[in-house]
Amino acid sequence: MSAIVTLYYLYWRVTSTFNQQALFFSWSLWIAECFGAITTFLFFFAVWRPRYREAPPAIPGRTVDVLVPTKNEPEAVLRKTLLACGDLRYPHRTLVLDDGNRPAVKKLCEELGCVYLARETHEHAKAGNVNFGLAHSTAEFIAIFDADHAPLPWFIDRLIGYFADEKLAFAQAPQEFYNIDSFQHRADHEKKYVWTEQGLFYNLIQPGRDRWEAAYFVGSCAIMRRAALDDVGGFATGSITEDMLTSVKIHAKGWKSAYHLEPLAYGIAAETIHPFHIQRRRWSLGGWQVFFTANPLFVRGLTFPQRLCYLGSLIYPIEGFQKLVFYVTPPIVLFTGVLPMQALDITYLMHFVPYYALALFAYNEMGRGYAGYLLLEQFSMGKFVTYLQSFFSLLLPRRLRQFKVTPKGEQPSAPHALLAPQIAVAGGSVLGIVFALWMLLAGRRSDEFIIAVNSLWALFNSGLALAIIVYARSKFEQRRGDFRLFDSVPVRVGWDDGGKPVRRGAVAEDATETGLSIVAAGEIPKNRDLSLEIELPRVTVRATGHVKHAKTAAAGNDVVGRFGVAVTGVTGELDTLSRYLRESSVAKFLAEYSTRYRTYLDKRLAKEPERRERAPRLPAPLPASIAANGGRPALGAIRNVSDTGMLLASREQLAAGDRVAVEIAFREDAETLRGIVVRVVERGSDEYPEWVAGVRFENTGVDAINRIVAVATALSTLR
Amino acid sequence: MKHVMMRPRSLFLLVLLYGLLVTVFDLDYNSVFIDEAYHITMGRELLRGDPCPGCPFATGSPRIHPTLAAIGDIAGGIHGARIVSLVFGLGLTAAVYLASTLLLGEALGVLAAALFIFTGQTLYLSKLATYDMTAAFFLGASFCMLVLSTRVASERHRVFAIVFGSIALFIAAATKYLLPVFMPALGLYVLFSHGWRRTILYCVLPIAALGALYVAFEQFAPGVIVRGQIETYRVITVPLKTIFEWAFRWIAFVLLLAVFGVFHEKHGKKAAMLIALGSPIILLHLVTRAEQSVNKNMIFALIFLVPAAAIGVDHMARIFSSGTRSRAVRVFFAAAIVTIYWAYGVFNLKWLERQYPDVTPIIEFFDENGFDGMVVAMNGWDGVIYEYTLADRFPRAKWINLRDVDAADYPEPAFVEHVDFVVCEDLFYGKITPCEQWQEYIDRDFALVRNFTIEHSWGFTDATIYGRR
Repeated sequence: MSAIVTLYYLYWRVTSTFNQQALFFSWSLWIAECFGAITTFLFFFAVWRPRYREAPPAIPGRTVDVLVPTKNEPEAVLRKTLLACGDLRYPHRTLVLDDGNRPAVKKLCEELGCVYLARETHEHAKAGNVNFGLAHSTAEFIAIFDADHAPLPWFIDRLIGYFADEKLAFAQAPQEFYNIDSFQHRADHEKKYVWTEQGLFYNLIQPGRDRWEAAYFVGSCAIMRRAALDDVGGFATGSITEDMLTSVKIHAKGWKSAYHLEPLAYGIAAETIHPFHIQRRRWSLGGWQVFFTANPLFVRGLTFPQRLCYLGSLIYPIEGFQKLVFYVTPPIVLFTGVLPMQALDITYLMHFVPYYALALFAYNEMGRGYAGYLLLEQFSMGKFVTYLQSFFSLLLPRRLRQFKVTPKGEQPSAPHALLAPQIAVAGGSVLGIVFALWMLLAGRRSDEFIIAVNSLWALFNSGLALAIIVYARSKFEQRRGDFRLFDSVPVRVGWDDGGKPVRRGAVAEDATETGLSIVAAGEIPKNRDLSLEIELPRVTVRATGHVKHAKTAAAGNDVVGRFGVAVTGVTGELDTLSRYLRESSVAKFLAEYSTRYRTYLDKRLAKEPERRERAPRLPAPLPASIAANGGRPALGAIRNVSDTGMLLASREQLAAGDRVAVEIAFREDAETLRGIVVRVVERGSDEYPEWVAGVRFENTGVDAINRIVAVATALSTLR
Repeated sequence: MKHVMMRPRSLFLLVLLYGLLVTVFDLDYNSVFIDEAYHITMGRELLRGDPCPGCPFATGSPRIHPTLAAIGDIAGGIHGARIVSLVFGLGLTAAVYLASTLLLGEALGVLAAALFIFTGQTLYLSKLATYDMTAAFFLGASFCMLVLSTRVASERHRVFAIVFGSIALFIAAATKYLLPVFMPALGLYVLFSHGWRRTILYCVLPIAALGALYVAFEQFAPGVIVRGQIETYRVITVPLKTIFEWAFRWIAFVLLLAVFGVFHEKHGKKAAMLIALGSPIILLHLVTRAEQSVNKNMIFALIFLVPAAAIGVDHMARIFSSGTRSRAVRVFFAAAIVTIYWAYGVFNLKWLERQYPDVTPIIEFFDENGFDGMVVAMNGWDGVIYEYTLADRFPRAKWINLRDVDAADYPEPAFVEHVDFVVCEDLFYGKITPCEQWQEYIDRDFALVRNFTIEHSWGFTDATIYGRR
């Protein structure tokens, strides 16, 4: 219906509304609208019936080589990836393809048992590097990971089963990113919702394309059949987005592909607008190259649906021109009074509003809760010049089109000049509004409705631009190099108090290999060497550190504090901590965030109402000793508390109906809360198991509950 | 630095103050409009106890507003009469604020009040001494009572609110006979809010009782007046496209904002309901294609559309602030939208102030050159303007229409009565009876004395005065 209305609207626009005195302006806006309609139709086509696959059983006894191309990524980032590759359970070999020819990486490979390969020349960028790796591989299958993408141990096991189909060329998993404070993420920590700019692609478009046998290889987090690669001459080198070009060639040869929607590897998303800009510019330039060199409309061997799906993925950089028209139209109208149509009156609105409302509704519903129209518009504002630049850089000689790796894992910084287009849009829009309103009030213009509508449009555009500017600027001065993963890890903190050893229980509510944010029921001194025993499930990591900043608050007679601790040395196994963070923390942390919102129809057709909290909950990350059914107490943590119950993170298995006694040690005494487990969710991994249990208070005095709620309330003031 | 936040109520008082100041210092924006002159003249006669058979047909407001306008006129001339409308205009703003606050919360209530007072028609009708603002006030009061009835806890208060709402609607309808058009929509509101018994209480009982009393005791039979008005509408109909454009010209922006309100997560359904409540008068104009008073009548729709527009502004501000959690950013964008709306309203106000002819030059001409007992014939029905304005100076002067003195059936062209001056104004008041048809008599017996060009918001008109040779 939306498609029919859109077609009618576009027909009516072109036949009845053009301003004959401003034909260029009229055509520009109409073409921009048409482009929007075409991309929307292609989107509807691609996602009409997404295919969500169940992983088939792994096929044993195959040979797999894991390729990790790298150029200039920090060693610490690469180390995590290689550790993860080493932990892959399926028998394999890891080949590190270092285009940076760095001795430190060679040493790292020797330490971690990986094969180090480095080319003498570096032609064809990443594609050339991977082909170099292929030349040194004899395996039947190739798994490929970017240097910042650490696979989970079961990565190969989950995907290898798809290759029981001898015609399957590659199985692709989504690229997941754990740093949800990146430039491309928008996280609502209160509602536990995270939106990512690539969420629509990985959660919907790829499964949708998979239905049409057109899911494409994205350069990482995939397993490929060597025979298929050989069939197309290895990784394609005609474009800087070798992944898409390789996919086109593979599909054109009749090979099949599979997309498996399950997080199997976690990487680092572009932290600031600078790497984001570099990444998107490379992608769009690569897209243009594929468009002009291996246009899927004309490549032989592709099916019609495949052609449409690839077309949708290739023409998106034209959005740069489309958005430019949309951003400059309101200021032009406001400054000059010239309209790209005969009249902006109620007749126009009666055509436009139903068309636009219906198109938005359809897009939102077809987006299945991953679209986020406003945020996508915001990112379009952030990228439109990037796309324009990529188009015009096509006109440059090939030697000037450098392949740039997306910088990751470094202290982020960004040149302010990148925001100049958004500043120009915001400034031009606001000036246009002020100018037109002034003209209206001075009686020099009488097109009041035109001014009003275009002012609203300009205001919308400036809102998008301001959002990008504000968000990008907030990322410029990011304090931490590493994203800290929220968790509830019990930690024993010890220090020497004038010859007297002191030990205090605490909970690390976020952690990296270099720092912890811990909460303790009591004070921890600053400028004192601390010994830290980080109690991971089944293993304790010992480290040293010191408090860098502290905040404390009183709750009655109790004192609670939040302490930023710098880890100065890990006396135990650093890799164990890394492994835990990668395998358990990331999954637990991301599992708490929803990546999908409920669309209008979801809400209307929902059979069950949304789960509501019985009582408001307060985060209370406190160390606790948990004893189930009168058994032996085990170390755990309280996650949150309300006056009716609490949420526990336990290292021992709990089941619904268990009666638990939870002891919290304060500075002077301890408080015991009793209750019954009402629901349990298993989190973590096989190696680091954890159970999250909702407990309803029973046989617990009001004073005890009030005390813990008061502590939680005090803690909430320390944010 | 201490963070100062204004309370919504203080902001509302500022909104009222704005309306008061903008209006009260600009009561001389134009010469008296024909309807103002009719209303006040009729009110004067009513106060004197004189019958005024022609007045109801011309104004459609038999008693309520004319009496109040005449009292205002006695106290302060045309300024006093216009201030009566200002009082009702500010009262209506308060009713919109109260209804919106009860429906949507205090912040949106203030926003609705601000949008309402920034609307060109509100400020214009607040300084136009016609029955429109009086009728609008009672309609707004009725709606406000209905909303109140859904919010009060006590059963007795609920019934009181509904009865008061019914009485207010009756007064609105008795002030301007057009307003019963809102009864079905408001009745449905009561039906969905309270059930059918209270709907009868609102729509039938008080209105039937008061209506019966009114019909029994009113000296000007309402049926005759309504029929007369319908006849007038039939005469002044325009093509559907034209009436569509004219009607929506006055509500387009507010309707656009209101439509955005429908998509508001929390208040979307209320916005839809408010749009539906405001639609009867729009539909009436579209169905009858009657252009008469379309710009003024839209004030009745605005009572309901403006709260919906406030919801729309809130929704737009959320959209424009791109999902930020910062309240300050949302307030900034809401303020920006309101500023655009304000400028739009100021423009419309200026337009409305100049939509009717400013006949001050003609008044000044007669002030200088007229004499008591003179007979002035004109091709429009605007004699009442001069009668009202110059009554103190020339109490025995007669202001008549050329058709009333036309002696076309006489053996030779002549006026049946002695005429001292002829005023020809063909493009506004006299557009139905252009002077051309009497031009022969005029050229023979009269000489051109003065020619004026009157500037309107929509163009220019000419006024020509002829004096007897």
